[in-house]
Amino acid sequence: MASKRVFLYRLYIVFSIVVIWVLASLVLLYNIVEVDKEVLESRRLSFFSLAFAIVGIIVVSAEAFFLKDAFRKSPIWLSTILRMTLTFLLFLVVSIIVLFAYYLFRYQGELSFMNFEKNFVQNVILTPGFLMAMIDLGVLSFISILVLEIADKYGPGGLKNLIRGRYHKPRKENRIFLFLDINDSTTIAEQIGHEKYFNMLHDFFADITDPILANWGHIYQYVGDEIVICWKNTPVNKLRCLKFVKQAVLTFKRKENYYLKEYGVVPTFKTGIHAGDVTAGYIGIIKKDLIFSGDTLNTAARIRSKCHELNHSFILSIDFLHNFEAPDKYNITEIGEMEFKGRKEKSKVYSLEFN
Amino acid sequence: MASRRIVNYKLIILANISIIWVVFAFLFLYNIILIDKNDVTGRSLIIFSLAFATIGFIVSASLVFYLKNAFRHYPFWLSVILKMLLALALFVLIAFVMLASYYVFGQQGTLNEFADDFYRNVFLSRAFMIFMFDLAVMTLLTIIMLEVVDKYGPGGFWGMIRGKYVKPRIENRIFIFLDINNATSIAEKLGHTKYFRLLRDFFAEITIPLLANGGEIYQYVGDEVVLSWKNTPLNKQRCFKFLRQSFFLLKRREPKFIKRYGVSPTFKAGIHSGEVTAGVIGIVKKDLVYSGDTLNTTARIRSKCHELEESFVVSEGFLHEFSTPFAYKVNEIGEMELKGRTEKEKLFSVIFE
Repeated sequence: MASKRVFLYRLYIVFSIVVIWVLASLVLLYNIVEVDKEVLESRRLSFFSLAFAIVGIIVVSAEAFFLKDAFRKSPIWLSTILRMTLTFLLFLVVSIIVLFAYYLFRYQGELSFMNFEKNFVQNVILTPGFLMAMIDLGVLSFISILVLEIADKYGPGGLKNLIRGRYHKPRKENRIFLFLDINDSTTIAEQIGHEKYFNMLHDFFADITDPILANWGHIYQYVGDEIVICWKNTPVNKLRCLKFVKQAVLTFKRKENYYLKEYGVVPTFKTGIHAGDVTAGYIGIIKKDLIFSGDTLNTAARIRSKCHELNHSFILSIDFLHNFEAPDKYNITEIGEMEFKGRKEKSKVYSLEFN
Repeated sequence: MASRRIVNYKLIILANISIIWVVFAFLFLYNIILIDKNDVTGRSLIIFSLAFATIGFIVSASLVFYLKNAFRHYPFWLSVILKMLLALALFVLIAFVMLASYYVFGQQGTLNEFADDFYRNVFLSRAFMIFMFDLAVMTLLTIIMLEVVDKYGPGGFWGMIRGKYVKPRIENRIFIFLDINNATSIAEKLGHTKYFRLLRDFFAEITIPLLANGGEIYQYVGDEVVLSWKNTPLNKQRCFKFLRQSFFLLKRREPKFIKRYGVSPTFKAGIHSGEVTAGVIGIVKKDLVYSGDTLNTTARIRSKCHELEESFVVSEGFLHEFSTPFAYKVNEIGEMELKGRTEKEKLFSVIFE
């Protein structure tokens, strides 16, 4: 069910976490070498790191791609325990396979299983080095699970921006904002009940994630039933923004049957698109968040609310179209004027349609 | 400058992090015992954990109360490095104090012998190296934890771990939409970057009354902040208290704001309560979302403030089954249409006496 874009994004996170594993392996090797000199004397550091990287990739991929969604409906503490147990089983399976390979190709002693087992249990499993490796792997798996969860809270790029300190001082940015809202949300909610409506909202935002990632959009925030997406203001991103709207429409056309079956309605949406200067920075003491502040956002919200009045699904502002030539497949027509805060004259707004 | 409430809130975080340190102490002790059998055999597990808890407490406390905001104008990676260096200096200082007291009370022999002995047997032992290393890892984890907890907000991280909103649930909640008066004209006067700093200071100020009254910051929407409480009579009272305390706190801070920005911010607020559906939404960006008409209505009540020329407007739904304390004067000032209902909702203004 996870699409290609979400998959690629997760792959990127998996590799970031594996880097942490490799760094940790360098540190842990030092510990284990100290504990068990004989066992590890002949092994090389690069070899050990490689082994750790491979185990890391297997474990973190399993977490990110399968286990994460498998226990989505259980609380984190429970899902963590279940996932750690499964991960432990995975270790065992991997180590047994590796040992069998060793047994088949390299083992020089008598081919008696009892003998081998005795050797194996005494020389490998019961050594302090092995126990420590297991504990370290356990701690790393646990940290990986937490990092996966926290990365999702910050959203794509959010953690990176925080670490790089991109917004540690407020800065002015020119950005495109797209406000997107489900049509007739109140009516739908009353019709299908609030709990079911919330599940539909969840599915709706899940399905829209794909076109957002495909077009490099940044999810700024969820405001009620509305989602705010933004891009840096460049001609390429303007095109991506239009592409996003088109792909999102097609996505819900494709999923029509699913929504009809599950909820009895197919969600459609309206959008208001605007571009302009905002100030970006972190705000808050006990709840810190990256916020964009400025009239651009209020205007974008007001353009979105004009959709109903003007009876058009997708409305663009003249500021968005400034210095931008839309390709022929997008039909952009002037549909009226509205007041922008801080401007004397009314500004034009346009509708967007697809040919 | 930090108020008692913020200190309390930070103390709770501090206690939690110290617990994590103790848990790790057990793990690390196992490591160190394996490596340096002779060194540690004489020590009991309890003393080791206690030592770790003490160090953890001191380091986390210095991080939480002093260092956290010290480098906030630097990028995160730089501030982490600086904090780690300071923490290391702190370790050395603590170790030095402990050694000095050991020398004064317990050591037989000359200072030179002692120093020599110490250098060879403790400082250069592998156990000590690993111990220092473990402490550094713990400090790094603590710094990151503190940052992440702030992203979730009070109770948010715990709610996530507990899985409180894994399934959407219907809750009855109070919402306050709070907004700075004349935001646009202040922004034009100050310039956007300075205005942003004003906004930041403003939100920092109202954090204190918010914590004092057990409120929760739901989200920042533009220049607006949305606060929320569970809907109980006690919380309604707290909600009123919050308004009152913020109002007077900002009055007290007026000289500071005027000196720094030339204007002193005042605010308007719309208050309403009702049912919402709460749950976690999103795939690549997850967030707790309250969904429902209650929020839209509250936003509209807040926007009525301007029209009705009142700072604080409360809905009839909020005042339902609630007798206003004497310190507040509540007057009916108008009514408003609600979505999906035929009757109009009455609106009331709040004045402090």
